[in-house]
Amino acid sequence: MTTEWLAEQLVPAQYRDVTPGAPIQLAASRCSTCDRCSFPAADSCTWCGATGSRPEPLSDGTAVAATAVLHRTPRAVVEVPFVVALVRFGQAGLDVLGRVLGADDADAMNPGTPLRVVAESLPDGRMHYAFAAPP
Amino acid sequence: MSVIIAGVGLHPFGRFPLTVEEIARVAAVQALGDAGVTYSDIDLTVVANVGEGMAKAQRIAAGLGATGHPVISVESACASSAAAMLAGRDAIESGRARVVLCLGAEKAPRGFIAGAGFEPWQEASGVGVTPIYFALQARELLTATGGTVADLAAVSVKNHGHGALNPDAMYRSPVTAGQVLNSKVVCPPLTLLMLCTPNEGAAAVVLMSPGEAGRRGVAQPVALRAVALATRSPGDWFVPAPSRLSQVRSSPTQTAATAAYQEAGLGPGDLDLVECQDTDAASELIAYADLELCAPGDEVKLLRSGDTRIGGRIPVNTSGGLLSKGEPLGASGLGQVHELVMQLRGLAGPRQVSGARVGLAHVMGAGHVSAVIILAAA
Repeated sequence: MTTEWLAEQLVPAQYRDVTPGAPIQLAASRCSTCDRCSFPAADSCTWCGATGSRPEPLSDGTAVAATAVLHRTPRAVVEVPFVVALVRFGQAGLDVLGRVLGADDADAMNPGTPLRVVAESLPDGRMHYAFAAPP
Repeated sequence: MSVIIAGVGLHPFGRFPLTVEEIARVAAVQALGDAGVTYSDIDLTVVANVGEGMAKAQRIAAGLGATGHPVISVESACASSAAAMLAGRDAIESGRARVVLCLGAEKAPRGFIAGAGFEPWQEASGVGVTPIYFALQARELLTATGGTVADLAAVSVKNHGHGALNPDAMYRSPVTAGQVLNSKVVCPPLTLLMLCTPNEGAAAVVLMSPGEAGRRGVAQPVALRAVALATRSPGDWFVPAPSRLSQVRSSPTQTAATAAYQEAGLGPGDLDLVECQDTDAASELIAYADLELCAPGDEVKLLRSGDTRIGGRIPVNTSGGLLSKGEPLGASGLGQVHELVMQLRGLAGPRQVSGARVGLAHVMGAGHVSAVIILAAA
């Protein structure tokens, strides 16, 4: 049975049939013209508008800053509270926003904390990407 | 050619048992009266609004009369009002209009601002909510400046103190740092009293060419010296982008401010007061550097100096800012213009900045849109 993802375009196909918590990659793209990366991957560059790019996988990064969502928000299927971090992927030169699994104190997440991309099973049964500390 | 602000009007910001058309009419009628014109004198009406539907401009302005002149709407999130001023200014400078009504009106729903351009996956996964962005910006600001949450609280204390002097503000009571820090945590480090409240209100401005203002004998004209609006560059990061470039840093506010100072032929040292986008306490501090009121890194130092209070060197958000007025998205920028005009006319009452001659208004909104307006006593 194919796993249903919240947004398939965010994760390469080879990582969409995994168990929750498994490390995965995010599907970013690197522009062939300006060499800058975009996430989500884009047919035309987010920054310069040129077409033509190659995949730039994102897997291991470090926290830049973190906060938490403590109150239920419109159209969210996830339970509160949860921690959110902006995570830096150095090789791609990109910072990506996402939920952090297994963290309960945003104040304690210092810049530079290692985080990797993992698969998460949402309460509605769909899969999505999240961040988690490596084992 | 400078464009003249001939009249301003305002419906207080808050929550009211009135329709958006009724709120808009109050502000528009005030502005028309202040300018000494009637709606039949208007050549163009530009309506700024975010939340209403199709034909909103025509509907919002309908209560003013059916004169046949063009009525258009502009929407640029929290910068909608500035977009209206840009369109109105350009219509006059091009010679297509002599008298323009810019009218901002909003009845924003309670709670988090929805529909800020997020993709469905962002909202479903819980990261499609604006305070996350403000909180992360706040974290980075505090790290870069050595500031603390007490500094964020101090911004709120300052602006609520100013708002207590403004009868048109939603919240008109001073608050203490303890009250700010102990209010409900929304997204750490931001607490409820460090964030503005989306609400309802309207503001209106009548623009004229200098010749028209002279012919009509406008009593207290104010010169619109600059309107500059900028949208995202590669180094920006703001709602609703799920990612950003790591190393490049810029801000549409910097871009708009640079353009506005150049257009006005003025610099930050010429300013007597500033109204800026204090969606949250950290956003005001970020604006200090982006508007060149201080060097990057000195934002907290400027706040702690007391210079941004009424009575200080460069008072910021003398109206109380969005933190105490609330934010009716389509009207907030014209509300800032209303405050500056009152200050430049010397009519701001207990919050008057002594000898004010030049003021700057700044808004910033979803989609990385920022605008800067500079006014001067004519």
